[in-house]
Amino acid sequence: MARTDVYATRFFNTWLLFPFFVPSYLFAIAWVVLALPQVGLLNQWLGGNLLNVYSFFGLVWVTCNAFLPMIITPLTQSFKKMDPSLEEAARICGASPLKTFLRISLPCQWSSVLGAALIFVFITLSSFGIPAIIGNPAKLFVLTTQIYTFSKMGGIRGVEQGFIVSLWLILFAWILASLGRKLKQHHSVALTTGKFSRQSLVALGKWKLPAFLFLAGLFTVFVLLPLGALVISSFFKVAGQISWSNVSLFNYHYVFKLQESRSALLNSLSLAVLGALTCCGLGLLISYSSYQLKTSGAGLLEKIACLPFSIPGTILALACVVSFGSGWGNPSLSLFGTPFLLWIAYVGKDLAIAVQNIGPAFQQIDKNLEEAGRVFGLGPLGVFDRILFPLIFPALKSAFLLCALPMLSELTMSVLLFGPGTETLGTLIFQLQDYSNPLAACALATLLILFLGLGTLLLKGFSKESHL
Amino acid sequence: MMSITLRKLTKQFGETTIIPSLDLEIGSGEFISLLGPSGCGKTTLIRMIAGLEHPSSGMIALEDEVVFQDEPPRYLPPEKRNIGMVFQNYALWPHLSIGENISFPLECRKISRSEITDRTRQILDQVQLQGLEARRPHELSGGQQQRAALARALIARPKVVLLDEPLSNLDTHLREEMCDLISEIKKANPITMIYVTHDQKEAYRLSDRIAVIHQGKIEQLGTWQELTQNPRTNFVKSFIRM
Repeated sequence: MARTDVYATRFFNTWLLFPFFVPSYLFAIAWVVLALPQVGLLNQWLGGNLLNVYSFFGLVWVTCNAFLPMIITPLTQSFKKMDPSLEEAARICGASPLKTFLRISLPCQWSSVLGAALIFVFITLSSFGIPAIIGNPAKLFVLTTQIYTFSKMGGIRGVEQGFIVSLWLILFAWILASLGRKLKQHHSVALTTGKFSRQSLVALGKWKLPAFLFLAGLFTVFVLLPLGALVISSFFKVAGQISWSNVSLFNYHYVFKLQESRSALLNSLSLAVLGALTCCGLGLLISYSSYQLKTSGAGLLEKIACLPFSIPGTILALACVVSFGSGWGNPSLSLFGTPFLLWIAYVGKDLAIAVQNIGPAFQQIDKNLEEAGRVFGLGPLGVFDRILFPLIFPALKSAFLLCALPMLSELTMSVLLFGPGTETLGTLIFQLQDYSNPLAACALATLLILFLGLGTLLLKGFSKESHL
Repeated sequence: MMSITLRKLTKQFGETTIIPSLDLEIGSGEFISLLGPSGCGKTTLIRMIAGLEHPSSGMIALEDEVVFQDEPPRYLPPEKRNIGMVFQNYALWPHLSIGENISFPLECRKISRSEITDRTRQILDQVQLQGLEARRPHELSGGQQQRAALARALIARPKVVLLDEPLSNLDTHLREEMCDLISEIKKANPITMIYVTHDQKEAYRLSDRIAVIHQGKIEQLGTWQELTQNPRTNFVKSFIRM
């Protein structure tokens, strides 16, 4: 997708990566619809009982599907950034395209491949939605679902046991993080040099069609099939019955009438907007003091702001319960079950996204632009208002959406923090799927996908605007 | 025998014409500089000779073998053209040692291990990089990296070597040194070389003939004397100044 002339790369670069914004539990629900024994759509279509999503293989499959973009995105980026003259030099030396790929391109990218693999392992380790929806019925328990079970058992005993299990999770996350750091230090060789020759693509020749078919197959199986299944079954009255008489808007009626869904929609939307605004505000302050003012200690502040992102959400939520849920001895001060606790957790988790998007934008602003503003008569505030802020604004808009989209569909933390009246879209879909009405879950999921799709399109529009 | 022949070569990127129509003949063992301001099309020209860029039309022949032709269509990929090239940014592979970088062209030609070792040692001597073969590119200075890139271009004894502004990233002192080294190599080996540069001093020191290029066209082709004493266009007159 990054370095060859395969057909429709622009389409694949957008839509094969769309699952990036779709929360993982929606893929779990989708594959339940597709591959449930007996009634799953694929099982009916294949005319047998071939697939069973409630199995170890099912769990692995859905995890791969949901987190595929986490591998593809960093790898395409790093292949795109690679200096093309490294490959060209190999061709000139007499290496065939295949040999060039195997001896030069791939080894040059080893650290990126390993890095992406580490991130994948970390995300899988911290993920809650997929193991809860698919693992639990199959009696396959993982650390995050165990922590959830213990802490929902209630009482001090439950929280204690939850904490003991989370120590394992912390240990594994720490090991992964240090491996990642080692990898970075070891492979700090620059693959990108100052001046690029023109980006020339590898001509695939007779392999162009097979490569296209491969990508199209990936897109069909990992994007079209699961998301299509969600949307289609949201219009079914009875699960798994494929016929026109079964099609209705019944599930949407049900969802809109449900008191919880109205409050979940309101909660999620307002939490996403307020949370993302808070992240952007804090991110702006932190980046400004670190890159423009160069305040001492700002670098440390930036590191601290980015830390929670690399802590599994389950642990972050438990930490929030312990820190803010007890009310520090006064139960009336307890934040447990209030939207504030969700807000704190969301902001804590996603602040890193804002900082890492706004920081580089500040970094790119040449000091001269600011100085020119001062020379031509602006004060420090005027420079910020008239020069810095307008230049940063596109990055700010992107950061807002990048924070808001995951907040809109958050489940892992919310499921431990919500109470009556503070359910979110994520927790409601999870509850509907798990306990009462999977088809209504599909309807709500379809609405969520619609929101996320709109957000993605907006984001694409924003990313074209940057002046930097 | 002509080493490189270009006939009615054109190159367009979308609507823009980079090279309108270019003819050039370079003799065997000749050292030609393509001299011109940046953006004049000289890099595009050698990238087409290397096979890294497809010409829009015309013909390219190396050693009397047609490597590109629009009618009937023929295109030989870069790895089959048996050339050497030095890139502006060196393009040394960061994951391979200097020795592995330099011997890569021989490895691709399926030459025996013992011969690869011998020839690598020889070329390392020639470019004065003895003892550095186990190092990685980033452990070498800019000048040393440049020597390694040159060694890699020469080791397979190609008939044609292309040099794309190889000295532009070096400081003045190192430039002088590298110019001397390239002159020595030129004397010792019967290789046709095309040297892309915007620096007339380099062109003057190294070349047998110089092609002054402007907007994708050869304004004048000749020896340094011919260019300075008898400039044929105003552009050549204003561009070449001692």
